[in-house]
Amino acid sequence: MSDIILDVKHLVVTFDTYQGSVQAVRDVSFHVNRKETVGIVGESGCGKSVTIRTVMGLNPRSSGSVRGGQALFDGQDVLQLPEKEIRKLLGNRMSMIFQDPFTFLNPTMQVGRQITETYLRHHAVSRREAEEKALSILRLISLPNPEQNMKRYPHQLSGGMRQRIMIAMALICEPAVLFADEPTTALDVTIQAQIIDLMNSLKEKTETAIVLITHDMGVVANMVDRLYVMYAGKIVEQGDADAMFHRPRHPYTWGLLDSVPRLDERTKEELHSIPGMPPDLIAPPEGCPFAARCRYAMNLCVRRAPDTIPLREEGHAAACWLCHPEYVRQYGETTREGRPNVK
Amino acid sequence: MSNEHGAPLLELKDVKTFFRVPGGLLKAVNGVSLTIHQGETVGLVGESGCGKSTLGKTVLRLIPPAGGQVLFDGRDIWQFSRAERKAYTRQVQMIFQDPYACLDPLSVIGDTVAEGMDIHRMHASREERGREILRLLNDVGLNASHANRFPHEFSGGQRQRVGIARALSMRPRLIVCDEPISALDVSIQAQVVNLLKRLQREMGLAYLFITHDLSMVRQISDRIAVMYLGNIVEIADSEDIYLSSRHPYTRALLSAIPIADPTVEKKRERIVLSGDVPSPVNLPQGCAFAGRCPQACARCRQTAPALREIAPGHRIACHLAQ
Repeated sequence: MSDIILDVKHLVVTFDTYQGSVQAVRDVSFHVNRKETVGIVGESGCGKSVTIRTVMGLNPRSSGSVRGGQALFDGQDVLQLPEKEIRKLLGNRMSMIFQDPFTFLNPTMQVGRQITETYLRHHAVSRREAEEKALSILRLISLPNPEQNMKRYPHQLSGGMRQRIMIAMALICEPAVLFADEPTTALDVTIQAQIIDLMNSLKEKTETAIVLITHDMGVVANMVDRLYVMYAGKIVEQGDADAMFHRPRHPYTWGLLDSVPRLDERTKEELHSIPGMPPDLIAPPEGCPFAARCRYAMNLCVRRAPDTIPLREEGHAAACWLCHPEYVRQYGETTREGRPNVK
Repeated sequence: MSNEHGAPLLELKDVKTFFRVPGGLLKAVNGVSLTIHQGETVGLVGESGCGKSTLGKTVLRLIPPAGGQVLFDGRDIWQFSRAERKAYTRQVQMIFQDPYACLDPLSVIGDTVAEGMDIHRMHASREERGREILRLLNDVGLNASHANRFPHEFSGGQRQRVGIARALSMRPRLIVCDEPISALDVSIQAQVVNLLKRLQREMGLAYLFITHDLSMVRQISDRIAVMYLGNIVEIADSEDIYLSSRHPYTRALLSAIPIADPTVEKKRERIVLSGDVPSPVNLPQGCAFAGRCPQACARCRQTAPALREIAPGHRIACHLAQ
């Protein structure tokens, strides 16, 4: 049994619109190991959600928007599977939790039925057995009074409880991969802390690998083993959490880390901000997509997009000319604090 | 830091704002006292449903309070004459959370920015109006070419800049900012916060900065008030809230904010509150936070603590903290 449960290779997704073709995902490759937690971080419009939806087969090859690449789930290319086969996977071997649990849940159905529905669809068991299973999952995610709450409707539950119900639905079939798309963004901070704790405890209690999509570097910091940073439809840096947070090498990753004020540090007079805004993906720039906002940009950056360059640490890589071995040999390593020899 | 001398620009005295709902009285704001001085930023922080936006609307004279007083320059805003009322709507402005919903999709940005000036007849000629629009757009980092575009042609951060330009057009003294950065991406949030700080330095504006985001509010606020279920539970100079907060709710809020550093995160002791914020309809007696407070005792469940000063400028509502 291979250690890699999900292997996405050179994924390209383009949507045709009246204004032109939006190149939402431009040659994205990433993988997820069994039982691992992986983060994909980026701002709105960077293609992180499109990537995940495509990998889940929600954006099949027949729709025409997937222009290339593979998404191997357990060795099987999801992008080539007929819809019938995809349906056997979704909710069962791969499942997903979303940002807003209220729009996701059926308002006219008791939440207990919504949880068992998923299980009954994929297993030949009685309703009674499915209910037992649902209760055990609700206990696993520590929902208070599971028996009573199963009989409630979504509007009778609080935001944090609804989020737990959605997590229960996603986990009841014990999936190999759980995709979490901004699972805490809509929640208050104290509830966010509860859900982060819950997801961290699930890592120990289940066999499920988690792919966490977010824009918040704080949320991923205490959850993920590995991290990918996406910008303008590309992965610009990837690596272990330790390397990514302590020795990041891409200027965009620095920008993301610096623009969030840290509570354990004193306030600065001026908050670091990244000037400008992300490029239009209908006509993405020829060179590095971040060049226009990067304070280290060179002539080369504008003209040619850098390849992903492997760095010293295993698995750490960045798509930035500053990391090119020739550049480093000549000028030294550029760090978050600045270039060594350039003022 | 905080500017305690001189008469306050805005003073709230025991303000109560209630709504009648099926099943009882919803006490959204339940006796809040607060002052804001010229040029000062007060951050108002709390989770959804704590009454912070209702308080903002009460300050804006959009909702009449059920009790208490809102004083602007020492005058009760509900005792205003017609002329004073008109002047007030100019001097107190608002910036909203959703920068798209608050712009008219059928108007070009120039007209949106100038609408208030048109109503108050603040310019003598069309030329002056045009010049003023350009000056405002420049102030917020936009340019002349933007004046003739429609809201849908702008990004979220740019739309928020338009909202700020519109607020500035009235030459306000106080701006109520209700979650002005929550809908923006992190890299853009910092841009908008820096812009608001610069404008404050240049124009001596006061801000009431309403947000649920404790990490950003620190960057802009001189003082911070933490709200829970309609009451201020702690208020202090901004740094005191972060370095020496005493109320268990404030401490839980702070500890709930993730820090973007795995090493720090692993070592941190977090206070994770159980349960959710209770409904503000038919509140129990005693401290509103007692149900979720890890330290609550019998006294907390019987009598509600009053806001008291524990250090100069640092007030908290808790029986237990010294």
